[in-house]
Amino acid sequence: MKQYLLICICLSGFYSIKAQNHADSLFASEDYLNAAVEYERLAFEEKKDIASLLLKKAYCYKAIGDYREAFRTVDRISSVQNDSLNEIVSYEKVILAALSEEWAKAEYGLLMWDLKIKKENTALEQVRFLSLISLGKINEAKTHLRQNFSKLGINSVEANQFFRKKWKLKNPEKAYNLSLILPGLGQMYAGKFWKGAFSGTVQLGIIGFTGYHLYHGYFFTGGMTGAALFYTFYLGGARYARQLAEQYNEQLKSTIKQKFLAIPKK
Amino acid sequence: MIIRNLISIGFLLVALVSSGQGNFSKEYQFVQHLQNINSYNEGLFYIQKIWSSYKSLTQRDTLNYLKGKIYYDQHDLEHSIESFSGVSASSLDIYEQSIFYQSIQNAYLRKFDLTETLLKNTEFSTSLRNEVKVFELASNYLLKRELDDFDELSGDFTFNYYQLEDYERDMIHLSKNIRDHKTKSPFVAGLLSAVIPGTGRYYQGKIGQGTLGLASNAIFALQALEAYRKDGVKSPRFIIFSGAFAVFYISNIWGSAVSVRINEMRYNEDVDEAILINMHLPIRLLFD
Repeated sequence: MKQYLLICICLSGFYSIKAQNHADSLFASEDYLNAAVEYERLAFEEKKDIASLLLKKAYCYKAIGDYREAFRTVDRISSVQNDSLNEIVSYEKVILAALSEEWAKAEYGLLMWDLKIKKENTALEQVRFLSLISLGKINEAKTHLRQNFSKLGINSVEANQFFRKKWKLKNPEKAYNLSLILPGLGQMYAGKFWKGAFSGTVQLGIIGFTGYHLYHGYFFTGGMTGAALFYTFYLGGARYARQLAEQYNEQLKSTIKQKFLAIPKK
Repeated sequence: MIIRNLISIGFLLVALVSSGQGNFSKEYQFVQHLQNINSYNEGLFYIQKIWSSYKSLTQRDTLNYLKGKIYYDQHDLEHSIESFSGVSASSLDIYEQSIFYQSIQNAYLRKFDLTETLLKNTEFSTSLRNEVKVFELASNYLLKRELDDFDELSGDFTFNYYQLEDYERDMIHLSKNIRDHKTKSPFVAGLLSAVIPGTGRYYQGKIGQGTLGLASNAIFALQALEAYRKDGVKSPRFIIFSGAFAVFYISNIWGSAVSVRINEMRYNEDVDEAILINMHLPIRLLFD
């Protein structure tokens, strides 16, 4: 998934580094860790062009696939006077946050991009869509796709046909409560019909066991073993339904993101 | 304390610059910068990179000290101790710091004898550091549960240093706690649970667990009794419930005995944790 994301949207964003110092030469010779430390040393000792040097350091980590460290580095850049550099830094903050799967930070980066840079960028619009999906904002993602399909680099037909009706996130608390109302119903709501049916049948069996024993005068057996078993399965089943709903949501988000990345972009 | 650290760093830098090692002081500051921004791997990489360029004993001591500190921040205790142990006694200030860092990390690794040897074999340059030495040694005895040795050394606590005063009092309080702690008997706990299920847990002060044990045993006993009265001793129902009761009853006795051991283990772990934190904080406050 991460590699796919990288191929789709990120390779175009590499900042060209002309060899101006030893660090640049190390970068050019693909000695990235050495180059990263050299850029940091230059930033520390010379106290100028810090944004540019940290950006280059971030590229070192990006090149070796350590996106978290790359994001951590680029996130240290607080103010940039140069407009074009500011644009690149803002762009990288979003892309690297996405590659680190820090979706809330990617969303924050996009907000900053909208406020400060105010330029259209296909790759960032794609990240915006992926962020919305990852953060569970399916309806917002749907609206974004339909309204901004050209910015996302896809055609209107694909944009309109992309979302399936059944792509709806499940509410884990609803699944839990449904299983409390009727055992097994929460599992069915979470998309696992047979698991729900099995859970419902087991709990019906326990109720039968309890009723049978009470009816035949085995009050301790019916009242205690029956009630204890029912209580355990009843609450356990409801918790399991909540867990299934959460798993369903993660699976759905992953499916939508993969299908989106698989669409040929302009 | 911050002023003291700054003075200490200042002295080191002045010493380095005055001995014609301006470049090395820059390297020192840069590695510290990498440590401050939590770029530990870069710090270690850089030290490795410049290692062959700086061959004097003082420089190697400083590099070993920096390596030790980076590993310490990464919680890599073994490598940290190894690096700190490379600092020679000729670099007095950082050597003494290294001894303290090694001793606390050895204590965390439960190598109490090494902590004791390191501290006992070092005479520190200031009265504060010697007081820290006494405090760390005494605490190490507490970790070993050698209470008489602790009492003997803690008698030397002066309570004159604000950096240590609270920790010294806390450590004495902990030693009293250990002394007053009464160890429960697994045999008594098991015996009590055999007479009345659950009471072995009451004996350990676990009222909730005891009540649960009593209730679960009572439930199975009542069901077995019900089956016996209605269906007789040979009925499958009686056999099942009396079997379940027997399992619960025996498990409860066994559980009561084992839980005494577990509680004792947890108590010791908690006390050790408190001692180690109390030992660690003065070192962090003085040298970090």
